Amino acid sequence: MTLTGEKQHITIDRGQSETIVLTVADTNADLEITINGGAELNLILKQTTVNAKALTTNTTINCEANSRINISTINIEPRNIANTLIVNLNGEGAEATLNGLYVAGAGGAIENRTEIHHHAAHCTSTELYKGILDGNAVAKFAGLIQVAPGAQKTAARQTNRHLLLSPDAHGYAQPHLIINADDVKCSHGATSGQIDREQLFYMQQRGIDAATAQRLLVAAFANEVVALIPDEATRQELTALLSADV
Amino acid sequence: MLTIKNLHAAIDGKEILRGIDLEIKAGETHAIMGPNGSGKSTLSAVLAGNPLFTVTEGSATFNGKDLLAMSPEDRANEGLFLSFQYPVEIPGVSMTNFLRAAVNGKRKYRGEEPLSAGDFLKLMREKKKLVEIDSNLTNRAVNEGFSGGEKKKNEIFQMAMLEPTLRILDETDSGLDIDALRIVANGVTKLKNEQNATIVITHYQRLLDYIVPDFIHILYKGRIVMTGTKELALELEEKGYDWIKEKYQD
Amino acid sequence: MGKNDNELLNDIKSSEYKYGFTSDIDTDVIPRGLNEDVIRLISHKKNEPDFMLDFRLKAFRHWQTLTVPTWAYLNIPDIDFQSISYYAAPKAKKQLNSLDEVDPEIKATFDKLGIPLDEQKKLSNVAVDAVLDSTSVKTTFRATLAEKGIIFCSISEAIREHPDLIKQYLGSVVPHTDNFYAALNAAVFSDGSFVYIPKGVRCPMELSTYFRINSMNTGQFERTLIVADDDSYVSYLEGCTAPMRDENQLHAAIVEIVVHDNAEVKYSTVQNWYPGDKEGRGGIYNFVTKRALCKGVNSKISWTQVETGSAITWKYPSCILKGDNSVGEFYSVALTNNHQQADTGTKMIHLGRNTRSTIISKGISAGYSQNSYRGLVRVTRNADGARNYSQCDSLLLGDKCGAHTFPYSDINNPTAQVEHEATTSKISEDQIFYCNQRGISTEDAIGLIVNGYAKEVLNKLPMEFAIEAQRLLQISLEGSVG
Repeated sequence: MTLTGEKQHITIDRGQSETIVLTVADTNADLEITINGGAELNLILKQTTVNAKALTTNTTINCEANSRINISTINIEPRNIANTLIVNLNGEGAEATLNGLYVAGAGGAIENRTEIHHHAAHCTSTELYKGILDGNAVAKFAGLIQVAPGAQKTAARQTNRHLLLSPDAHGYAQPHLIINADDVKCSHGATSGQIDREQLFYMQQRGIDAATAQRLLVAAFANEVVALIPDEATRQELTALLSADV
Repeated sequence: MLTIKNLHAAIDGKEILRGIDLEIKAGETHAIMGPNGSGKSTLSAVLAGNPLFTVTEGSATFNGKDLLAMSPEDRANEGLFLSFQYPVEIPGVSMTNFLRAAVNGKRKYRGEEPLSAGDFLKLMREKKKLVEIDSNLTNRAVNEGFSGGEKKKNEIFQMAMLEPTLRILDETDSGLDIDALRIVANGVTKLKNEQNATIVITHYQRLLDYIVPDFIHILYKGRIVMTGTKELALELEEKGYDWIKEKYQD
Repeated sequence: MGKNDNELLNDIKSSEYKYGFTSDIDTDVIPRGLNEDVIRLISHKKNEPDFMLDFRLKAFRHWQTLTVPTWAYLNIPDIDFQSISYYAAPKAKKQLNSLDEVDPEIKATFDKLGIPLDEQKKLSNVAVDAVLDSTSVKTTFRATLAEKGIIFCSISEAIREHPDLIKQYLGSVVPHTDNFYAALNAAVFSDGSFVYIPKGVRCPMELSTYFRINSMNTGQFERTLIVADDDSYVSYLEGCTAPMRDENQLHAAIVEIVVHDNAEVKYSTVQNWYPGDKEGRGGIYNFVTKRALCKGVNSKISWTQVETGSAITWKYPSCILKGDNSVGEFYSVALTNNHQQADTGTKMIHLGRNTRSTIISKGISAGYSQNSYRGLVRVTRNADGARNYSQCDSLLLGDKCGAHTFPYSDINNPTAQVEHEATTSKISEDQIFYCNQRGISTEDAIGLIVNGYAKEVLNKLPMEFAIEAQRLLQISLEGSVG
């Protein structure tokens, strides 16, 4: 399947399991996805070549009871890309995994807006977005977890981490929780930092030059997300793109 | 091999080393002992080029080159290896990738071709056997989740891989049980030859039962206050450090 | 359980909002409504110099261009700003110079609140500025403090007696252009406290202001200014209560703090404005702008707040860390019950090098209440080595309330280490059962557990306040257990 820029509907039938890899290159994405009861979708939305014009991706996913969605949003060297991802957990026992990786350098601007709405009880969501920002890249992560009244036994965890490599890089994070049920376990964490000086020194002490050590540490930072992508070819492609030449 | 003259160093403006003189020749083993806070670990950090410390005075010459002018990686590639007291964990970087970068970094420095993947793995197998390290340690990320003993064994394994000429062991015995201590010490001894030298930094005498030093230096308040042979360590074990503190109070 | 704990629990069972009484004090209240003439009247009544009238009018004109902010997670009914009286003061028989001259009814009011204005019955080692409606009625221990060069008086008095300090600092941290309520406050503020700690002085006692609303249909707009000069230290406490009434009353305050080189200010609040009744009728609208400027190197500001009162709370005590190595801290417990709403948190703005900030926020929601943490951590381009740690926890008691977390971080420096963690959960049934099994009722168990949960923050309060705050938390939770 390829992106048309128009609204595209995807339905995963009851009990089915599918993996869809969509490449974002020069067309906007506008996806409306329904995952029926017990069905499973692995969706990968990846941009790995520099985009010529500003792009948006809008994805809304409706998850019925006991369905599973695993979505990976990958942006390597984005130029002005805004991703909006809305996940509605409508049926009990639905499970959502959202992973994001963005690697932006000079002139890069990337925005990830995610909303996970826990409408039903006993749903789980796990979200990990990591960004590596170099040059004067600007990244914004705005993640909302909303738990509706009655959505008891919700478990939601959201994590956002920014690695800043340059004094001009700029990272914003807005990890928001709106919780209206009490028997829940919800948490989020957000961090911003640079390459760990102690790790860098340790590697230099073993004779690895500073630039290589930094590349290895950056790749390690990204690998945490890459390892979670449920598609071997994508993992390999990203590992090759990110790997330090040693 | 290494000549240190009047070395002074500070951290956050506080002077820790206050004039160290030391001469180390190939084939020699030197032990540096002293009470806590005397500057032992600072000396090893400064020699390895840890950017947290600033050298304020003095010089260090390593194989005829100005050691203090070199980047940490160039010092390593010249043959200086520091076995850290607290090896840092590096999640996400596998031991294999890490060591390959290190070994090939050294080869590149010498103008040699990188090792092929096959040769590299073969080298790892040999060295693992040599230092009696569990093979699954190398399947993990660098030091991540390693026990204290595993971390120290891993340091010695890396020493075996990189074959340094100057080996600095910073409190390698701390936190080790007797079996781990033996494995670590045996590794160091096996790897010893006429071309390399060893500096053993330790608080206690027990490591010196396994790695027998030619010279013992006592560091106190940033200076070497006494130099002797291995008998000095026994004397320290018996009398403690208090008499040193009294004698060199100022 | 110790005897004190038992007594405490007994107190809880018997008490509602115990500060809900009204005092019959002869009060001068100006007609409702707000225009330039009202502002001139306020300034005139307070015998202010011309520069203050200009300050107020400028703010008022700016306020007229603004609209009510709506970004908070609050449901705020329309407020008719023309239906409020902006000045109410006990009728002074003459100038108050000593205790004997305080109106006995006012004295009785503060006695009843546990704030004796009589220095013989003094709160141990606490100097108090008592503010009733729009004016300061009494400041204790002034002479003792004056010996060290410390100025502690009402802000009205400071405007008259120390105009140079006021001109230099008033509005320097929270300008009237800052926000809607800050502009309103700058136009109509009536009283509040002023503190100046001179160079090198460690204030020998806790300074405290106690705010009391008494009159009907009035707003309270107090303004506090604290200046800590180089190498000084002060710990400042603020407490507040109001009568129980069915109408809502507006309280829009400003607190400004300036901290110079190597100085430290601790600012503690126990906010217990009338929260409204169980059905959500009445209560104070508490819209407050509090901000500290760590201007000097190595300066430090620490905010600690326990928020249990008010129908609606809109409040973000903030720190601008301008001096190199300056430190900002924010410790907060916000408890909402019944139909209360709170949107509270902090801003940490890192401008200087090696600046550090800590945010510890504990929200507790019960009944039908809505409780939000909102916070900003900003590290600017030049703030090398900045560190922030934030921990924001929410505890839910019951399934009709809400707990929300809205952190924002804006990081423009790679050497910054910024870490935010937030969790939302309820009291575990295992913990309650464990207490039950040891003979502790569920309600008492919740009180104990909530206090344990809030302990990290309560421990930051001065001793006298910590006990009061602990008691308040338990009282405020009464009836929240089904």
